[in-house]
This record gives sequence, C-alpha cells and structure tokens, in this order.
Amino acid sequence: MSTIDHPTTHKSTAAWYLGIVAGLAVALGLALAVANAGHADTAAGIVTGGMLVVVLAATGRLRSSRAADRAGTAARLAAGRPDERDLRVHQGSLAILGVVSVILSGLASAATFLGVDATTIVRSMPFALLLTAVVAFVVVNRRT
Amino acid sequence: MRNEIRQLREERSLSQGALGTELGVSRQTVNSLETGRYDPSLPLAFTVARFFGLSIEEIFHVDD
Repeated sequence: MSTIDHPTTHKSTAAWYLGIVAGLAVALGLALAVANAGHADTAAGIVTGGMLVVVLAATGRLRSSRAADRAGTAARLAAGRPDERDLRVHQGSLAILGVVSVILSGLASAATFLGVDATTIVRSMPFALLLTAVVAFVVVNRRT
Repeated sequence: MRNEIRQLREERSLSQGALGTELGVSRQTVNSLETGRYDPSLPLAFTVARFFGLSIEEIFHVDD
C-alpha cells in the first residue's frame, strides 16, 4: 500500500519530457498552420504561449526538486511530481472547468442567435476557459 | 474530520516539512491535514498511523 504513486524516476522523467515535446509539437504545428493561413501575428502568439508554458513547467520542475519545501501545488503538478492532495486539487479544478465550459458553450451558442459575431466568441473562448481554470485552481487549492 | 496530527507532530518536535518528507507528501499537505481542510486517502491515513505507532481511530475522529 502506498500513499502516493511511486513511478520510477526514469519513467516519471521520461513521461515529463515526452509531455513537453508533445506540447511543443502541437504548439509549433498549430502555429505553422495558422502562419500558412496568413495570420503571422497569431502564429507568433501561439509560439510565445507554448514556450511560456514550457518555461513555466521547467521552472516548476526545477523548483520542486531544488526547493521542494517551498514549491507550491502548481509547481509540483507542472513538474510531474504531485502528491495525493495536489492531484485532488487538480481533479477538483478540472471538474469546475468542465461544468463551466458546458455553461459557456451554451451561452456562446445562444449569443450567436442574438447576433453576436461567432468568430469573436470562438476566439475569446480559450481565454475565458483559461481564466476559469486559473480561478478554479486557486480557489480549490486554498480550500483543500 | 478532526485529527491529532499537529499535536503528535509537535510532541516529536517535527516541522511540517519534515513530517511531510517522512510521509511522502508535501508540507502543504501536512498543513491541510492539520487544519482539517483535507481528509487523507485511506493509504495515507494508514501511513500516518504507522508513523506515529497508533491506530487510525486514535488519530482521526469523525465530526459528529
């Protein structure tokens, strides 16, 4: 019986690097497709965002290994080294995000019938969901 | 759920970080356990009980 998952260090490290490489591949692929469609600024934004996520994940991993006592929930999750409470916080915030995304998509759908530009709605949705994810994470983390 | 973790930890002059290391969890998790904001999984409850040499019932109490 174990209190936390104890994957081997090699497996954990390999999974983390695989996740980073997969994330980078998706960001770069998406940026390339958007750039080819003639939206160079948006493509640059996607690349910048992708790199920012990678840097934050690397910082979290470094912090959770060098200053484990001061690392927060987000840092341990980003580093791929969460304990059971971190996973509970992650699960709880994703559950909130799931419910809010259903509500937001319903409202967005209704808004298009009221004449709101669909492109604007679709493009603002990722930001609304990202904001929801951050707020949900902070609230659940403080309450758990 | 109430628990005696803080008292037991202080009796042994352990910091939250040190107890967390012994239990395989973070300092924040120990803090959340002590303040009752987080109820541990059954495996973690067993680990806590084993570490302090007590039974789960002696450490964790259900709020009535």
